[in-house]
Amino acid sequence: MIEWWSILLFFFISFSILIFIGVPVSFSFLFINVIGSFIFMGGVQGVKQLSLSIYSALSNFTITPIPLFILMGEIIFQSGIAFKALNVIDKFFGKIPGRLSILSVAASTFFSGLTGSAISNTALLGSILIPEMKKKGYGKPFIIGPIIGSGGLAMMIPPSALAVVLGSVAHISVAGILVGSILPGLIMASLYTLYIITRALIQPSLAPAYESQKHSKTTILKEFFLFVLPLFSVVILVIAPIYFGAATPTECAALGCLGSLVLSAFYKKLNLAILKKSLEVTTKISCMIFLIIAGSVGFGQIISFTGAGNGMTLFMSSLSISKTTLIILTIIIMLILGCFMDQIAMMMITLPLFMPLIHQYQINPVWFGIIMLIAMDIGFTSPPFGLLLFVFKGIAPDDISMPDIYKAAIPFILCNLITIILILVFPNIVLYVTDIVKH
Amino acid sequence: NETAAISLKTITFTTKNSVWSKNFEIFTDMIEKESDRTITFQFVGGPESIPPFEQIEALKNGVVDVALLPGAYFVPQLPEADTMKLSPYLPWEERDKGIYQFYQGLISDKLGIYYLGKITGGTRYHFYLKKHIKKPDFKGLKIRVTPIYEPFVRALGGTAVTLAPGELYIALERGVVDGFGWPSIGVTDLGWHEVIKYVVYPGFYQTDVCILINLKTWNRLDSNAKRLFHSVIEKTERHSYELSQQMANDEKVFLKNRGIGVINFSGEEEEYYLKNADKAAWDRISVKSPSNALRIKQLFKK
Amino acid sequence: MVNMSRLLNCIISKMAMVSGFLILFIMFSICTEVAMRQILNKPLMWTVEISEYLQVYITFLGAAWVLRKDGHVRLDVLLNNIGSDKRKILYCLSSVIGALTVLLISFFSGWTVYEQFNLKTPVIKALEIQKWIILMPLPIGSFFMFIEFVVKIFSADSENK
Ligand code: NA
Ligand code: NA
Repeated sequence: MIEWWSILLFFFISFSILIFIGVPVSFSFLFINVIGSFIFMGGVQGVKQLSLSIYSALSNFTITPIPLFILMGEIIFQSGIAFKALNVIDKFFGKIPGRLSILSVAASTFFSGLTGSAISNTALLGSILIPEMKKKGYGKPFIIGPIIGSGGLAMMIPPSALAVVLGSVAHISVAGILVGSILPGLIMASLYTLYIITRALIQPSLAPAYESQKHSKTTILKEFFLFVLPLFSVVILVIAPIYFGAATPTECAALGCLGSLVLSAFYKKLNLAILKKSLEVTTKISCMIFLIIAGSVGFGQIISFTGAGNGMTLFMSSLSISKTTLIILTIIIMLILGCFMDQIAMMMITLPLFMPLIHQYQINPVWFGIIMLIAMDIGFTSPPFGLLLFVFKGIAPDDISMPDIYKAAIPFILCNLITIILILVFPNIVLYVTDIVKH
Repeated sequence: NETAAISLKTITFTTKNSVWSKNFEIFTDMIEKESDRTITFQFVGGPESIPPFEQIEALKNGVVDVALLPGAYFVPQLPEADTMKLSPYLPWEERDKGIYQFYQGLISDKLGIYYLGKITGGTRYHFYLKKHIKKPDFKGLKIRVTPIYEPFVRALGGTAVTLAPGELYIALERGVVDGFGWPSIGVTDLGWHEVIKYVVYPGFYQTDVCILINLKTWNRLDSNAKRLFHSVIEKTERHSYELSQQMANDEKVFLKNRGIGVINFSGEEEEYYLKNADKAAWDRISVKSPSNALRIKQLFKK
Repeated sequence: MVNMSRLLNCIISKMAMVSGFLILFIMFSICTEVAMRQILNKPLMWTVEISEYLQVYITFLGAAWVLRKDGHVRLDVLLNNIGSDKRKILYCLSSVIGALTVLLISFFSGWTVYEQFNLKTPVIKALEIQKWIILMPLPIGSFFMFIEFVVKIFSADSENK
């Protein structure tokens, strides 16, 4: 019987080597999957099983919003609608330091009401905002950070597919988690904003101020009605159907796509060239992301098949420890597993083992679940292997390198850590709201 | 005399902490204990290790030795598995009536898998709704379906909607769909009780969670081990039946206490409802495998 | 030789084009689904399912083209900090690893397709489509990725000389 840690080490080291020498992320995953399934899943039959796992990772409706949001973002970007709208916003908020970065946090918070997936959120905002922020001379930390950091907000602010899965795997009240994660989500967003403003004040070069020319109020108002309001109406069109029960979140992504097509037609910007260019970019990014998903899902499955993830969790939970240490250990486990697998696999491996302990220690499960959500978000965005970082790399222009992304992500990870600490120290941030729901 | 220790790789269609996996653990624990741990089970996980609908292939190919899978998860490979839910008998009655033996032959011939038995038999399905209905009539209702009861929803005039399981909670909460079908246990585990208002009480079909063993693995076992497996499953099927009845009752009380209304039909309407449930399913199976469907129907006759 | 590479080029970009159209198709079909369900109370039933299957097609039909465009994300830390000779060697090495990977996947998924074709196993949802049809893009897409990797290996080699 091979020990869990030697198996984890095997996967970690071989994956690190492949990534480090520059094998694309998706092929690194797939290479280890082929080898790993041969070794651990009984030879040739195991590798055959791998092709079924690729198929079932991809034929999954939860990833449908990804290409749809990228397409929506591309259409809005290629047709120049976003640029005009952002210009108006710039005129409005010209003096606020780092306003476009703050806008991306705000937009992300807003779109979180639509998506439950960090990848979709990152893809949407990345494709709309990155080019504009570059044009306006924003520094890399301010282009990259907010979009990555805000990806995690998608999981915190309802509806969140991940929160629903968490609730059902852990047998925790889904409503409790959905409602309880709103406040921590807003705290995260505020911390991001605080960081952006502070850093922009210290390092003004990161977010060049808008040269304020005199604009008559009527010009601004006219431009607002012409460029901002229509874009805003598409956003509303996307979100409203969820709240009126007309469509599921995924369906709203498709409606948003259609909405942006209609909008660009309205501005007479819809032509074959733009559509072709948008589709080309969408195909490129979607294929890249989907292949990474196919690889990482299989990777997680093989590790859990070997029992290594299970072994680690069991080992940690067998240590007799205090309540706080237990919580910290679970956070550490989520961060380690975050290097290897997607969030749903992480939850399915750890929660069935954690939950009995949580009940035994009489820890409030909703409170614990929300800490788990944030910990998973950190695992998803932490260097060197956070999947969201690689996704972002695929969306970003070529001159943004992985180290740029790492550096930009760290402050936002710290904001998330602070949020976890706040929840640990002041449990009422979560409990107060969930208590209201109960009564 | 010493027998070589055997370790069997085991997979389940749900996560470890689900009702079904817990009942399965009673079975595996008992085998391990009564064999003095010469037979042990190595749980390689649930859906996080092998996607549920691909587990049957893993079992066939010997990637795993034992699997816990409901009939619906191998209907693609064996259309007749669709009839298991229609049985009017409890698992031990099926043994006496030769029904178990019939399925065993079928599954071994067509899939190369040994069908050992079922756990939590006798657990019925119900519809869980957001809107009240007075009669067995789903006109105007949008019901999230799985292939298990999709024909039934159509037969009742409902609109069958397919949704990813992860989206069901939000779809119910926001009213994109009006209800879904599920066994009488496990609804509260998944949090869906938070977003429904009624449960339609007459239960239809029954769960058919099978314990399946790779045929080569099974043939490798000596006769003592085989006998042990059979004696333990015969104990577990009764035990897990009682346990699941108890849980179903608890869940019923829990739902009632939460203010979820119970919808009952009059005797005549109930009969119509249940007849339709069976008819819808038989109609589908009869097209796919007419001769076996007829055989099974004969076996099911009371 | 020139004709061969032109043909390859053509096939790979046509496959990617199909990928793009499939994304567009998914969008329109889901919008139609919402309209049919909310307005006519007659959902199409197949949109979720078809979208799921098409995602397999989108990924594997487009992957070789993305490879040609160097669109598969990699860690560039080491690559950016070494000499161009060493970089070429690493590029070549990762192409070899990639080629090996997709060749194996192509072979084993091809085997699975063959098995499923003989078994005629359907996927039991609303449409009951045969599983081999959905698995089909795996061996095909992987095979073209393999060719693309091989081209990369040899073109790096000729640049070295
Ligand atoms: Na969200
Ligand atoms: Na990580």
